[in-house]
Amino acid sequence: MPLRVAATVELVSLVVLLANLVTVHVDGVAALVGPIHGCAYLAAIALTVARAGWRSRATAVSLVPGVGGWAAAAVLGPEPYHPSR
Amino acid sequence: MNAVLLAVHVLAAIVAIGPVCVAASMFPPEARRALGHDAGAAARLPVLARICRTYALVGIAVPVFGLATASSMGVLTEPWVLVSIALTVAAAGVLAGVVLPRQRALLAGVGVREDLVASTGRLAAATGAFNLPGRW
Repeated sequence: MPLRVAATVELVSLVVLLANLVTVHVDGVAALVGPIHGCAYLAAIALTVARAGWRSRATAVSLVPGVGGWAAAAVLGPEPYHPSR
Repeated sequence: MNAVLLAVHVLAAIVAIGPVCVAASMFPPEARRALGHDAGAAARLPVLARICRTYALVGIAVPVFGLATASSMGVLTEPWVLVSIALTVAAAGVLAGVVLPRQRALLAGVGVREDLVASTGRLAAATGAFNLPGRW
């Protein structure tokens, strides 16, 4: 679930950044949405590493910009239920 | 825009790094008590580890918004910014590479008891190393 949230923010923020770039090109949007996209991108990678480890296929695909989070979520499948967490 | 970026950076630092410092430094003594068959400590241990993991994730916002702030203020190549970037990278490396994996290993509790007890000492040292630049 957290991975899917991070993946969605990663993709939506990138779409907003690119849409801003080709249309109105407001600097404020880039300055604020840029770091949000960066956080979501790194969070998606960190969540993938936490579940699958550093040397895994899921981690490799999570590095892809924009859609990496969703690709990693697809590779990992649904998160197993941990009552203790 | 600088003010917004700086506010997010400072707030994220206070809200995210503080809990990690406190929970991570409470973890090794609680782990020793848990290994000494203290049921209360054993129950608290996963909570401390979860605080560390969750707030470390939130803490990603600190360097990201810090870089955005420095870049938008045009101070990215100032020596104090470069020094704090180096310290942040070192702290993140210790947290992600040593503290969190050793917490996870202790929670799993696999191995000889004496080795686990000894590893709480090494974990405490690594946590202290993380906390120094973390508090800086």
